[in-house]
Amino acid sequence: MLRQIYDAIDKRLAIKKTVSDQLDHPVPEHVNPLKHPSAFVYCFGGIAAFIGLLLFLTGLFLVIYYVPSPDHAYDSVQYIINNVTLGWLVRGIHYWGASAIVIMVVLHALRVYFHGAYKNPREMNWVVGVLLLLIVLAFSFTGYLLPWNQRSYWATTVGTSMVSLVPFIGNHLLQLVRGGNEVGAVTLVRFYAIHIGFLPAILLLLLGFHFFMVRKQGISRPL
Amino acid sequence: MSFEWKDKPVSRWGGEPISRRRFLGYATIGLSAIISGLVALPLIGNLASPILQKKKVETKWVELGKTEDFKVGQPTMVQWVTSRMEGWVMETAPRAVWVVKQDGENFTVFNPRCTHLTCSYSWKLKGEPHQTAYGSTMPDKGHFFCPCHDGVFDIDGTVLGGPPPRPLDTLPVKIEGGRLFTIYKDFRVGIAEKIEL
Repeated sequence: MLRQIYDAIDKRLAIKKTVSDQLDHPVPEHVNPLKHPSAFVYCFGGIAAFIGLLLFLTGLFLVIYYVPSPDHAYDSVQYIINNVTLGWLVRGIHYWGASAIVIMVVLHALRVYFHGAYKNPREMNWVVGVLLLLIVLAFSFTGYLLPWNQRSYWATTVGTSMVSLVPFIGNHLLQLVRGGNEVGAVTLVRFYAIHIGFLPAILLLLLGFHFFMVRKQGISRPL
Repeated sequence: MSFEWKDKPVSRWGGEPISRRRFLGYATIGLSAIISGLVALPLIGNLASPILQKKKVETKWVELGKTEDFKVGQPTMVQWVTSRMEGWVMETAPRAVWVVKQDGENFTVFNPRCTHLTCSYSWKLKGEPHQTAYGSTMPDKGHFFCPCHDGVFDIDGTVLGGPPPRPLDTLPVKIEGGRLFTIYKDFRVGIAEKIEL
C-alpha cells in the first residue's frame, strides 16, 4: 500500500533518482579528511550551514513565546528560560549558535581566501559569500537587541549611533535605523522584523545561489 | 542512475551479505535520525510546554453579596474582576456567575458558560420575546437561554432543549454572616460528565 503510493509519486517526480544522484555525487579525493587529515578545513562552510539550520529551527520556536515590545520582551525571554519546557535549551542553542556561526563563517572565508578558491571561475560565489557574511553580521546585530536587557539596549544605542557619522545624511540614517531619535519601542519591533523576516528571506535566496554554484563549479583545489 | 552496489560484500551479518556501501548508507541514515531526534526533542518540548505546565486552580472564596439582596425565582448575574498570571503577564480576567435563590437559605450558583460550547447564556423571563438561532420554540416559563445554538435550561439548570449535553455546572456555595460566597471553576464542555478544567 505505502509502496504503491510512494511508487506513484516517484513515477511522477523521480525523487529516488534525484536523491541518489545527490548521494552518489562524487566528492574529490583531496577534500576527504579520512585520506588527508588537513582537509577538515573544507568542513567549515558545511558546519556554518548546519548551525544556520539550528538557528533557523530554534528561532522559529522562540517566536512562539517572544514578544517584541518593551513591556514584554525581557519578561517573555525570562519566561522562555525559566518556565517553558526545555526553553532554556532552545534559547541556549540560539544564543550560543549565534556566536558559533560568526566564527565558522569567518573561518570558512579564511579557508577560501588562503586556498585562493575565490579565483576564476568562482568570483561570483565569493561575492555572494561576502554578502552572506554581512547578512550573518546583520542577524547578530539585530538579534542582540531582542532580549531587551541593559547590555542589548546600550549595545544598540552605541552601535546605531555610528551611522549618524555618515556625512550629510547621518542624522536621517540614524532616525531610519532607530525609527526615532532614541532606541525604543519602534527600534525593537523593526529590529525584530528585520531579524525574523527580511534577513531570513534574503539569506535563503543567497544561500541557494551559494550552494548551487558550489555544486555547479565543484570544489576548488588548494593552491 | 539507480542504486547499484558495485563493490563486493565485505562481511556477513546473520547470513545476509552486506556491502560496505550499504553499511555506510544505513549508518548515515541512522546517525541523521539520531541527530534530528536530538534537535527535535527540545523544540517539541518548547511547543508542548502548555500541556506540561502545572494546573492553576482558583481556590479563593469570592463574595457575591448579601443573601437578602437576591430574590427567589429571579436569577441574578454577579460579575467581578480577578487577576491571574498568564505566561509572563498579570492579566485581569472578568468573571461572572448566575445566582439562583431557591428559598431564604438555599442558593445555587452556576458557571456562566453553556455546557455545549462555552457561549454565555442569559435569563429570559416567561414570554419574553428574544431572537433564536434556529427558531426553536421556547418553554412557556422563565429559562436560561444560550443564543449560539438555542440551548435552553430550566431555572434549576436541567436541559430543556437544544444541544447541551449536561445541565448547567454548579459551583460550591457558602453562606457566612448573611453573605454568599463561591469558588469560581471552569469545566470541560461538550461532554455529559462534569469534569473540572
